[in-house]
Amino acid sequence: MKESYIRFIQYLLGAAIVVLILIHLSIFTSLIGPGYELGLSWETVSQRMANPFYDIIYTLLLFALLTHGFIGIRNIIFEYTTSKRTRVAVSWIIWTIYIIVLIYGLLPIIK
Amino acid sequence: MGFAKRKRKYKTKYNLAGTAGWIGNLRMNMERYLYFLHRITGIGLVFYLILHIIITSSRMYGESAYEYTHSLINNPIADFGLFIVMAGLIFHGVNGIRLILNEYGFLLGKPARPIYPYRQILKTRTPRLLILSMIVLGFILLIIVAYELLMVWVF
Repeated sequence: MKESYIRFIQYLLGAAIVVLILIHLSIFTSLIGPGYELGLSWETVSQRMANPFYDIIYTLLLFALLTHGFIGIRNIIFEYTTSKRTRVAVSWIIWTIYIIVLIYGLLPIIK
Repeated sequence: MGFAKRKRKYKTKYNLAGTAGWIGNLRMNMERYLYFLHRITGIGLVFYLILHIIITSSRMYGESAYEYTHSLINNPIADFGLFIVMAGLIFHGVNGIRLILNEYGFLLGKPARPIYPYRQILKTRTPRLLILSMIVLGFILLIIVAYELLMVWVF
């Protein structure tokens, strides 16, 4: 993929994350949501995760954050080398970690 | 040191800056420092994200596992760490909005010819207003975060 497309995805996901993370964090403010301590208690979390709205929000947020973060890490590592072989190896390593973390993050949302 | 030699040395240093090049030679304008902080916070937030996923995944193993994992991070030191992470997140988000606006040409002010000495973008009116409003917005968000965390431990 062209680097300019990757940078465009980075900006698009960045804008999406701003909206999604405000929904995510508003739960832990006592101004809008239940507050920091109550928002993390087992009962509140179970109730929240039974709600399909939050399932969708968290799935989107997880995907957006991981993609945005790992593209950023990839861009930083790519600055240290121009060798094609190293870059392909780095890409494979990052893809592997990305898939593992994505699946591990999705498990508690689905369950 | 002759001019040519000094120039060559500077050029070599500049080209092989590596990680130190993120900070540069301390003669940069403000945008470069924002860029540096954007990178540092970005790397930190990826590590925090993975930690966050590991901690919240304890929910799959039932209530006792969840309560145990959360008892480990239920102390003022961990919450101070959370405050730093939130500060990094707010900076990254607010500066990210500025980057998106600038990338697509919004709020950059009037264009000028690139004649030496070059105009520093943040010394012109519109971008300076933009960054000032970003700082204000960031501080408001940070105060909300600090209030929530202090509510748990102080009040």
